[in-house]
Amino acid sequence: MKKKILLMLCSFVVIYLVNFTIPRLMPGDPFDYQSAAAGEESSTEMTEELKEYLRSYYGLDKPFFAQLWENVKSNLRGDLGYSIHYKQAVSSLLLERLPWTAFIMVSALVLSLILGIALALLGLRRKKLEGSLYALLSLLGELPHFLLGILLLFLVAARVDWIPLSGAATAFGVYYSEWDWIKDVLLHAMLPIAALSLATIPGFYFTARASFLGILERPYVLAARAKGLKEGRIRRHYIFRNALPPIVARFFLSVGSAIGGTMLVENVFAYPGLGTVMREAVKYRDYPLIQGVFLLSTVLVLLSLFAADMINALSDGKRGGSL
Amino acid sequence: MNKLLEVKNLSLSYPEFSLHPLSFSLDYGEILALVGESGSGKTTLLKGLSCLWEEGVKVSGQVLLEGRELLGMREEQRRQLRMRSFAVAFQNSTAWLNPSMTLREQLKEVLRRGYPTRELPGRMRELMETVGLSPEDLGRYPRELSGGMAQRFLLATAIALEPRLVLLDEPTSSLDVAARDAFADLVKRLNREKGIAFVIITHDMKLSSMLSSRMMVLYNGHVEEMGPTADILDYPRHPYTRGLINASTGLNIVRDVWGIRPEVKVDKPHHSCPFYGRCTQSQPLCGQEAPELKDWGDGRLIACLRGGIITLLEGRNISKAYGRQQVLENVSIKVRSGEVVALVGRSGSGKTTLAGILGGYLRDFQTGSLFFQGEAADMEQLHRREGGVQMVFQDSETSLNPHMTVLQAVSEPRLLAKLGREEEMARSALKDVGLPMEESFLKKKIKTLSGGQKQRASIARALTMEPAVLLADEPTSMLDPSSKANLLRLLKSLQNSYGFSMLLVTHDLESALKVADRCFLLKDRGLEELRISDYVSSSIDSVFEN
Repeated sequence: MKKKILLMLCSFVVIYLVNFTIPRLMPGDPFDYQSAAAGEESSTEMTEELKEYLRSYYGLDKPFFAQLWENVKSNLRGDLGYSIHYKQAVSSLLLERLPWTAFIMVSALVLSLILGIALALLGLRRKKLEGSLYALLSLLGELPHFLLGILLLFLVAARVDWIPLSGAATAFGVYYSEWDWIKDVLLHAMLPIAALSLATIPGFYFTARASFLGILERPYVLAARAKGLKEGRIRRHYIFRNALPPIVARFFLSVGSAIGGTMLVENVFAYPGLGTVMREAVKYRDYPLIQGVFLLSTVLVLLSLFAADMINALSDGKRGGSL
Repeated sequence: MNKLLEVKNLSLSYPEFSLHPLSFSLDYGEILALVGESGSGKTTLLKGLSCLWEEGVKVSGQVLLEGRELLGMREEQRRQLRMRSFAVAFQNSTAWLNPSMTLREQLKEVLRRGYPTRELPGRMRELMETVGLSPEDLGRYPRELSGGMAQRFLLATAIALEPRLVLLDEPTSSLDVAARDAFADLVKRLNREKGIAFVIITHDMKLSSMLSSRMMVLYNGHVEEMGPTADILDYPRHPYTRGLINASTGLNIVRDVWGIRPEVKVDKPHHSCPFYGRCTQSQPLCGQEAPELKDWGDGRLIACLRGGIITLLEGRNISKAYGRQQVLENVSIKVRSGEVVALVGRSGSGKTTLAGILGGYLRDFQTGSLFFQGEAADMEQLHRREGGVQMVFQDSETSLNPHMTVLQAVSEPRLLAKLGREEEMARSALKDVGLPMEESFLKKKIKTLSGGQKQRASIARALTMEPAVLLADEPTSMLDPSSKANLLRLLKSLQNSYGFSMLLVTHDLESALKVADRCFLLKDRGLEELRISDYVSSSIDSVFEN
C-alpha cells in the first residue's frame, strides 16, 4: 500500500516536470503569438522592447531552473499562475470550465458502464446476438473519440435540424424556466456524450463479458444451485456481486483516456470545456494555462488509477490475496 | 422396507466421456462409498444424482428419492427439495463458497428456507457447534478458512435443513490424516444421531473403510464391483478393486504401495471390457465384449467376464513325508491371478518342499492334487509353454549352467521348448532385469558373474517364457542387503508391470510383508494365513493430532 502511494508520488513529480518542460520546448513564446497568431497576418505587432518588457514581467527571461523553482513555490501556495492569453487567473478559468468537461465526461463514462454491462448480459443470454455484437464492438473499439465525433457531426447533426452543431448552450439564449435551460444544455451535450460513449462502451463490454464468463464457471455458482436458491438471488449475490469489481476498476482505469478523448471531442463540437481552453492555450503558448490544464488532468488520472488499484486490491483480498 | 434412494440405469453422456448405465439403491440411514481413480466417473455420477449437470449432457434413467423421480422433474420443483430432502457438499475447497459473502450470509440464505427469522441465530450457532466450528467463525469470509474448516462449513450447510440424504464429493481429499479422521467421526455421528444417509465419493479406501457399510467401485464410467465394504477390502474380487487397495497407503502400513499398471494393450477395441488394457487376466474375449455387473453369489456384484479374479495355481490337500517324518499334511493353497503370495516359515518347515510340489519339480507326494486355472495341472507341459509356471531358485547354479554364456543360458528354455524367437526374448528379458546389454557381457560365462547378476539372469531366463505364475524360492537369501533390496524391488516391479502372479518362498518375514498381497505361514505341517493387521498396529494417524 505504502509502495503504491510512493510510486504515485514519483509519477506525479515526473509528469509535473514534463508538463513544465514541454511547453517551453515549443518554438516561440507567448508574446510572439500575442502579437501574431500563428500563421496569421498580424495587425498589431509588438515591438521587441515591449516583448522584452513582458517577458521579464512574467518572469520568462529567467533561467529554466529559476522559473521551475518559482513555479513550484507558487503551485505549493495553491496559485496556478495567471493566463497570459485570457488575462485571468488560471485557477478561476479552470474552475469555470471544469464543470462542462466533467459533465460530459462523467455522463459518458456512466452511460458506457451501464450500456457495456447491459450488452454483455444480453450477449450471455442470446448466443446468436453475441456474435454480431462482438464484431461490431470490436470495430467500434478501434475508432478514436474525435473521429466518432466528426462522424456524428456530419452524419447526424448536419442532417437533423433540432440537434445543435456546437457549443454548450444556445448563444444569447433566453430561457423562461430552469427546465428550458436544462433541456437546452442536454441537447447540446447529447452528441459529445454520444461520441465519447460509443468509443468507451466496447472497453466496458469486453471487461464485463470476460468477468461474467469467468464467474459463471466458478464452483460456487454451481453450489448456489445445489443450495436451491432462487435464480434471482444467484444472479445478484453470486454472479453480479463477484463480477463487479473488475468492471468498476475498469471504470476508473478509463478516466485517463476519457479525459484525453473529452478534450478532443470538445474541440470537434466547440464545447466550452477544458479541451477548448487547452487548444487556445497551446496555440498561444500560454505556459501557465497549459501547465494548469495538464496539472489538473494529471491529478484526476492519478487519483482514478489509485481508486482502481484500491478496488482490485480489496476484491483480491476477499479472494484470498493480501492488500 | 422402502428405499431412500433408488437409482435405475442412470447414465450421463458427455461428448468425451460417458457414465455407463448403473443402478443401486440406498436404505434410510445407510452410508455408501463410491470409490475409483480420478476420471472414473465419480463426480459425473454425483452430478447426475444431484441433477446439476451442464448443458448439452445427455441424461437417462431414473433417480427416485423417497419414491419421487428427480431427473424428469422441473428444476423449479426440484429446487424445493434441494437441501430439504437431499443436499450436496462438494470437494473441500473454499472455491465452493461465495468469496464476497460472510459465512453467516451463506448459511442464513439456506436456513431462511426452512426456519422463521427469529430462530435463525440459534440454529446457526447450533449447526456451527455440531460440525466443530465456533459461532464466531460466522463473521469470516471464505478466504479466511482452512481446507478443513471449509469442509466442515460445507457440511454444516448441507445438513442445515436436515435432509435425509447428503452427497459428499471427495470430502477429505486435501485434508491431513488427523483432519480426515475427525471428519469421519463427525459423519459417523451425524449418521447415528440424525439418521442422515450419506453417499460418499472418494478415492480414499481408508475413508471408505472407516465410514461405509457398502462400497461401489467405479472405473472409466463403469461399476466394476459392489458389495459390503469389509468383504471387499478383505477379499477384492475384481482385479481393479484389488489394484486400488494395493495402491492405498493406510490400509496396510507395512507393504509398499504399487499403482495399477498403465494400459499395456494400446489398441483397445471399442466394445471391450473397460479394464481390458490394464487387467492381468484378460483374454481375447475380454477385448470383444464389455461385461455387465452380475451377482456371482455371496451378495457381491462383479463386472468381469471371468467372474472376477481367477485362481491360477491351486494345490489341494497336499501331504508329503520324508521317510517317517511328515513334512506337509493336508495343505491347500491358492495363487490368484496378478497377486504376490508369500510363503513364510522357519528353516526346515517344509517351504521348499511345498514350493517344489507346487512348481511341479517334486512329484512324489503322497496325497493331493494340483490345478491350473481350475483344471488338473500337467506341470511338465506348463513348464514348456508360454503363460505357464516358471521357477527361480535360491541358488542360481541350480537353474543356470555355469559354463554357458549369459545369452545362451537365458535363451535356453525357449530353445528347448521349440518356441522360437529365443534370442529376441532373451535380450528383452535381460533388459527388463537391468543387466548390461553390451555384446561383451552377453558373451560372458555365467560362472564369472556376481551373485546378484546370476540371480537376475535366472529371473530373465524365467521371464522369457512369459509365465503366468513365477515361483521364487528364497531368491534373495544368498545376497548382500543392498543386492537383496534391489532384487526384491525388481521382482515386485516386474510382477506389477508384466502382471504375472508370484509365489515368494522365504524365511525373511519382513521382506515378504513388503511385497506380498497375501502371506501364509507354514508351521507344524500346516498352512495358516497371516493377517498383517493382527500383528502390526500403528498410531501414525495421531502424529498430526494436537
